[in-house]
Amino acid sequence: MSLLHWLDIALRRISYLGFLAASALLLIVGLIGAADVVATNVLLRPIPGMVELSGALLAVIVFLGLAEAQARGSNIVIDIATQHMSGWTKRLSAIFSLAIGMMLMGFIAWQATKLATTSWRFNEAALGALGFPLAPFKSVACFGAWLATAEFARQLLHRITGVDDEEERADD
Amino acid sequence: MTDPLMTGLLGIGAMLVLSVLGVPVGLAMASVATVGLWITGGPAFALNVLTNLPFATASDYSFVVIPMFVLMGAIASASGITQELFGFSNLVLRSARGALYQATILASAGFAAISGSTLVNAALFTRIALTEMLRLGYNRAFSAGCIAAAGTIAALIPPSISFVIYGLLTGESVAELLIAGIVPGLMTAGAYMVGTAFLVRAKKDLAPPPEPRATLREIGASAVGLWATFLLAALVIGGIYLGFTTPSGAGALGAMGALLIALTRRKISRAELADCLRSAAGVTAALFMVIIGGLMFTRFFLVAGTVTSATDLLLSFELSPILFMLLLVAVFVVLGMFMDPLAMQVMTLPFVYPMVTALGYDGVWFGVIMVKLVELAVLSPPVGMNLFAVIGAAEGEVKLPDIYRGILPFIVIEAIVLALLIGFPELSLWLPRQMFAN
Repeated sequence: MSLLHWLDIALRRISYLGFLAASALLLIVGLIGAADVVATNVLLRPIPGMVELSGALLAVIVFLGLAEAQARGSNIVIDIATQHMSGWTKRLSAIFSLAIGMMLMGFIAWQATKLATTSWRFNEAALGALGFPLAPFKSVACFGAWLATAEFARQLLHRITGVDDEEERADD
Repeated sequence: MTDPLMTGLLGIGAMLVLSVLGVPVGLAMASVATVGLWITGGPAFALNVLTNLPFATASDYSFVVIPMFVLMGAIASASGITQELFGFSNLVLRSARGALYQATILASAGFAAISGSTLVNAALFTRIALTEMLRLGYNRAFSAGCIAAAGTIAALIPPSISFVIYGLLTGESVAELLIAGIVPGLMTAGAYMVGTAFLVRAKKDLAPPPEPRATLREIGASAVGLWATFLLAALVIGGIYLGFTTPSGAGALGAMGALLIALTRRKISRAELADCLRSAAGVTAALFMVIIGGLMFTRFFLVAGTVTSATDLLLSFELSPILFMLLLVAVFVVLGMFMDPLAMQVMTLPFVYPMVTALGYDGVWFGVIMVKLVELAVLSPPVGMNLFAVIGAAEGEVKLPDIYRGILPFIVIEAIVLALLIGFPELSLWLPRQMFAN
């Protein structure tokens, strides 16, 4: 098995695991949100730090889900022109869009790394009743952004080497 | 110093070119915004936005409402609530000609109160209602059109994802927007029902003769199963309207309520729940990509001064408000024929919303008009998303020409309701004003 093939499989697995973690966290956000509404209205005592914790978890969910959203083709795309393209024009347009995606996600991931590093350096804590550390959340979000960048790079490599085209032909 | 209007136009042009070449809409907007901010605000400013805006947006508690509404809809669809609603509506209405059309519209409006996705509504009701309609000899084209159109009611009746995104992008109150959609949503459902009844009476071949009236016992037995729908709708809509909770809290309560109901009624397996969670997480990530791109684009327009220049230019034309609104509607109808409705909303709001409010229009009212236009977009050939949702779920039973034919009467009805909402803003604004008065 070549190194690239091994990397390909490893990346897909890590992305999927991240996505599963995001799905599980969604349930947790729902549970604490619902518990807070009940606690606020019935016990007249909101759950301390719920707003900040839900927000931090949402960021983790979003960033961990980006790679899988790209892998599954869930991102919103206007295909009015690309669906009429064929052969090399379609391939060229895919390479172009994946390259743009990879560059921008890489840029966002790079900036997110800076954000997480600063957060660790200053022991940044949530502002609110429960001052939990924010750095771990920012670090996981940053990891998610790098995963999404890697997913764009993986798809770009497939397009350039023609692997995706072979798969499409096999599907047809 | 470049002309702000020209900078903005170049930005829109670049974004459209990237999008048409297949770059995901969110990334196309974010890429152009980054370059635009770099040029207009300087590299430090552009990097600052790129560093802070994505994480700040994704970690904003008010945005929690999006995954919660998506999750609530996913769990409610998986737990068979739609079948109960359709069964009940059919029993109540079956003595009328075209009962299954009416039942589809009524049940879809009911399901809209617990699901915010027009696509999910259209696909679900295709699976539930279409086979039954075709078996009983209902008109194929009109059946498909009716299901596609009824699905759009979910965009107006809360919990509506379209209103949430509009509110988060413009800064209008999400709670006020969600409540503002109730009357227009019910009006749309009512107009569809009246229009369908009229058409079925005028063209007898659209539907078979009616069935005998259901007994009260049958209707009562079927109504008992609807408690879950009413409870969920009351939790979400009531919670927001009465001010017990924020839209995010109501979304969490609705999602967990839907899960609890599905678990206690043994209507959802562990695998189905995992599917719902995965689907909601995927949709959330894709939606946030677009929202982050849209917010960055808005920031670019503000820094470049495009919004101010465009508004000044528009005001200098001294267009009458109604002419301006008609122009806007025409542009959206054309865009909607070729564009994904969410993309259309996010791509146009950064410059349309400031102009509309500068002309003195109410932002909440315009939200309703915008969502109504989104509804029209998902029904408009050639690429209306709901039309494809019905074709996809029909598994070969309906062809594209059928649905193009069948959707036309509903587009006419939509246009009439839209005209009423434009002509009488109180239809949208009365209910949210009562909420704040209370």
